[in-house]
Amino acid sequence: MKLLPNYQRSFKFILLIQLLFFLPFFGCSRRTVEKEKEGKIVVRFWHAMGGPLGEVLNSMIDEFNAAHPNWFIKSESMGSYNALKQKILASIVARNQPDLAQAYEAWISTLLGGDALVDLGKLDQNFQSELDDFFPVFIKDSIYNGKLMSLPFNKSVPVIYYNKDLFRRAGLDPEKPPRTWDEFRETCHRLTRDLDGDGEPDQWGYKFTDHATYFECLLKQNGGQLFDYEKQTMLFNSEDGVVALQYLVDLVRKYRVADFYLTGYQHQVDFAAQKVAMIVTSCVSRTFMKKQLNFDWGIAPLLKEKQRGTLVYGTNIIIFSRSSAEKQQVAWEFIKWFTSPINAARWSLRTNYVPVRKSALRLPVMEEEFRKNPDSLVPIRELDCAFFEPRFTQWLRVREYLGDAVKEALLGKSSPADALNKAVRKGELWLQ
Amino acid sequence: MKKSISRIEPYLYILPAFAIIFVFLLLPMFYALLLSLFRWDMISPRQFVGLRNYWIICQDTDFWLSLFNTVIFSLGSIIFGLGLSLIVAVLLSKKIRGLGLYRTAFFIPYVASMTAIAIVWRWILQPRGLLNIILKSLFSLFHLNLPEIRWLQEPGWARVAIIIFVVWKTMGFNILIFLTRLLDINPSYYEAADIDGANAFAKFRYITWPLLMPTTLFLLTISTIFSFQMFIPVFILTPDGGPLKSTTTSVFYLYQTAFSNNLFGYACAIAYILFFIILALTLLQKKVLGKKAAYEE
Amino acid sequence: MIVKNDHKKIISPRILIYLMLTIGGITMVFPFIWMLSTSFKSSLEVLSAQISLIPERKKYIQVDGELEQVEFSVARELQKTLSIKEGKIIETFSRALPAQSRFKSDISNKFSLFRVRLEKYFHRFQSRAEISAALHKFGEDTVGKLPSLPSVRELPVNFRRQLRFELGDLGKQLEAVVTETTDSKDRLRVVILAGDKRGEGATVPLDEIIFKRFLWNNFKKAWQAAPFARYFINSIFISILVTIGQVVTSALAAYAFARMRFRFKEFLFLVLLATMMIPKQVILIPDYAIISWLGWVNTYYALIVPFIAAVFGIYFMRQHFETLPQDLFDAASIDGCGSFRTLFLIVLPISKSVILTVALFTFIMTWNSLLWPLVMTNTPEMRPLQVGLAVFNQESGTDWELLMAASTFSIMPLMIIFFIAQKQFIEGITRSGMKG
Repeated sequence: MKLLPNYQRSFKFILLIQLLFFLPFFGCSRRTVEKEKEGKIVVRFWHAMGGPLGEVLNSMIDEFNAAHPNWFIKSESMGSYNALKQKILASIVARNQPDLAQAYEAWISTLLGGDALVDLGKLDQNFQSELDDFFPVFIKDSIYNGKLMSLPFNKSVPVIYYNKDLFRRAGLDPEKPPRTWDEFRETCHRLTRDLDGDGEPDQWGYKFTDHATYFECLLKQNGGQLFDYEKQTMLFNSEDGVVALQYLVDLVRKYRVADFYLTGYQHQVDFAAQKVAMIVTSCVSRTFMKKQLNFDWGIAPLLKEKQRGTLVYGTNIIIFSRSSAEKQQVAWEFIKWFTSPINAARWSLRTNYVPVRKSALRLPVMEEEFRKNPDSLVPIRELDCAFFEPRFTQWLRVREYLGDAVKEALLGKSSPADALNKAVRKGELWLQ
Repeated sequence: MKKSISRIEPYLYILPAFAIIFVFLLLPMFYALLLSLFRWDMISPRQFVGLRNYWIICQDTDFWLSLFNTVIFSLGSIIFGLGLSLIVAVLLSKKIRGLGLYRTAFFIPYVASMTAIAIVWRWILQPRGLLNIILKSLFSLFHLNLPEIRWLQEPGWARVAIIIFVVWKTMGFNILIFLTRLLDINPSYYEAADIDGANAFAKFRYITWPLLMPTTLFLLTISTIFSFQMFIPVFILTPDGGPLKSTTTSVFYLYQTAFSNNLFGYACAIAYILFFIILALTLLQKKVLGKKAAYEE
Repeated sequence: MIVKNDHKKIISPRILIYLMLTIGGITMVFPFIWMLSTSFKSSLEVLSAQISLIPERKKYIQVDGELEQVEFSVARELQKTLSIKEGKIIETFSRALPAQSRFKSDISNKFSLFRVRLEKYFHRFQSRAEISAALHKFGEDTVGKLPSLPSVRELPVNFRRQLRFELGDLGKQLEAVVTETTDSKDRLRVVILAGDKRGEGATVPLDEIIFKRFLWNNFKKAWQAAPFARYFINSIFISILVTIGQVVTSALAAYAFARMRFRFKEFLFLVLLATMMIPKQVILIPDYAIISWLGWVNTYYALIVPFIAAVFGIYFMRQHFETLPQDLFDAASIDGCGSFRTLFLIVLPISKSVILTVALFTFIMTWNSLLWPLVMTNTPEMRPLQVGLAVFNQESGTDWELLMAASTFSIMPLMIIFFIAQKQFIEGITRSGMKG
């Protein structure tokens, strides 16, 4: 019965177990082999567009694929921007990055540090002439150290949404939304009402949550700057910044015509429930508002104090340097196709993102849209005075400090100047 | 042959476990120390910065705030958690009927998965959620009007909310440990005290409490370590770290720093500081309370 | 003697003890009951800020944003009125609306709501009772006789009141805009708009979906709102593999430490114990770096391999193996069993309860872990249940009935395991003192 001496047999068993055990370490291949479609050049495109926006994007990608039988853009949604960022970083470490992706400016700076991106200007020398057709803010936003590293993909601006019914009820002209800081405060004053007589307003002129964004826009309107690239210093605690924050604080604390939430999106819910007459949010929300609101509403540009000023939201599109030359070329063809005037217009019409090309505005489809919905021109007009946020890698962290500073000032925990100075001090730790 | 086999055989038995523990536990421990001396975002070349990360920690008010929050949470959950658990355990040890039923009731929250039950509490803690409804109706019994508490939206209340949740969730465990120990106490001690005419409080003070000391110490250590590693309640109840970062615990801060801001080197430095704090706390508790716990049965 | 004495003294505090324990016990269990009850409710009842454990027969209407209840009979009446197929309703609606209406353009747009519009004059009403009465009366009329009136939006807004009825399942809601017209003071008009909350069209007959008591459908909706089936499969797969791996590696190592003599044994065991002191957060980042370097991010490897060995299991099993009598091993040796066979044929079979405890706890720890898989995965198809649930929590912000339904089915598996293996569970905890 015993074929082997016991010890030896026992030893074999344990060796077998070892083998089974360590198999995963050796057995698995580190890179998954991309299943190439027969004779096609497959380009992997990672993005974060889900829901209805994702459907629009995918239908446009399908169209591109159908028109180019030899190419295939493989659309992969990562669900959220944070997941997209994490996945891009991890994929670069593991060397299985995609060919094409959406990216925020601060991520692009990080990726540039790892030399992971292609200079689009080099990819196609002839494209230089077309750059003038893009809105200048987008091109400025895409040039890093003199090189064109990205092109605008899904871009939007914040606008004021206001409830025309409430305007009428307060005796205000619903076709004349406030234009300046003083007008805005006055309008808020007229719209803030205590309906049930308990001494607390139940209907507010203005409510907000995304504190950094609103402050940044006010700062710009007041002639201030966020960041000095030459000297690598923060500038938002300048006199202009303090005045801007004081204005916001006064709306809430002195005049009591505006309210805020520290977190969440409750202000949009309140707007739908007619508990607030004006909110500021992205122009893309128009799609959602059209569905949800059952009162008369309109959109208006942000305010003007010393000048107009609004912030550009949204991501750019990039190509990775480790992809093969032919994949890069196909990816580039897709970008060109997507940002061509007609497709920029179609993308804009279906999603309410702004069209990125000037000539798109002159296309018949857009002209008809403007005739039918004059509101659609509001976000586009804002592009003249739009600016983008600083792009250094730790900006998003500094942005958080800025948001906290605004909240502290709003809560009366510190003066606007102190709060902003503190944010700058904290931010400078990450500049070096 | 046989001899050489038997000499290496034991090592083969421990190899699988040690390989894993070495690669994913021991090695990373030292790797983290190394990384904490670098500025690193995973993809750019590593940049040696010496002790700069630790120097930044000294000035990083957000880190100290997160540490403060962590301490508040651990104090809150230890004082209320252990206190309430002790009371319940003492009550349960009074030879009551239906012990099993009560024990199960108190133990159920501990069994439920933290993520799912934290979502339930996020619902309970809404401005118009269960807790506010109950509080409001309790107050109205006494003709008092309670304003709507925004549990998860105000910095102070958000901290209270997290403590309530953690106490509720972990009480079952503490009760179980206390109860097991209480039921082990030799009844002759109490009988002797009865003969001496001691009242209930005296019995607790001079018999139960000293005998429970080692158990209390054990629970204290475990609760402290648990609080310092707390992540899920914060992540579910206040996914953005709470109003004005009021519920950002150290681990949550570490997570954000590493995986939202890509400051991997800096996050490693934070991790090391935390490691030393936990170590120091554990040793301190052993030392201070260890003396008192000396007279075991 | 003494015991009897004691008994007399304690009799009145006894009641107090039971009272306190009962209150405490209810506090501990109530969140679960609340979770279960919420998951059967409709979205409007969830908003009603009432403590009702069993979903009510009363239904809620929203008047100018505030919720009010209507009697069930009124609801029935409405149901009768609307017992027509949806297609028919849309038709009625389209006919009744003026060409420029926004609602009409909504119909042509597939993404938008479709709404029903039924119109009727009513007398002015002041109280809820009057609303009920009006709705009763409304029920008597048929759809076809509706007079054509100007659109709601053209009427002065300050007289408009909004009511919102719920249609039970499918997130459907029936909106009634009760409008007071200016032309005649004592006349009211009711426009009822039925629409899907999420803007999806449905072809279920209305009378089937109105006013059910328990909305089982919430579970189905929650299950489909995110790939929960996949999450469950992932969690089960990962937990089982980790459990098997950990039991095997722990048994081997524990056996060696308990029953074999070799050089550096004490030292190695000390190293092992020392690693218990390492907090998880210290190794998270270097492990992430190692796992990205291996290319394991977002794979099962990252979720399984690092956990197939743990000090806890080794320590726990070693303690047990050491208590086994030496005779057992001597006998095995005489029978000619090698150490491996001894382990598998003799030691493990008599250590079933310890193995079960280790397996149980490993399974639960793996099943419940969040931070690690949150960091290591980034697509839905790799997420285990806890991460999926956390993401669902963030994505579906305030759909409480769905969140509670999802929490319910996520909690269930472990609850069942707990009730089956309660004894094992409690013993394991008291012996090993594990927390979190």
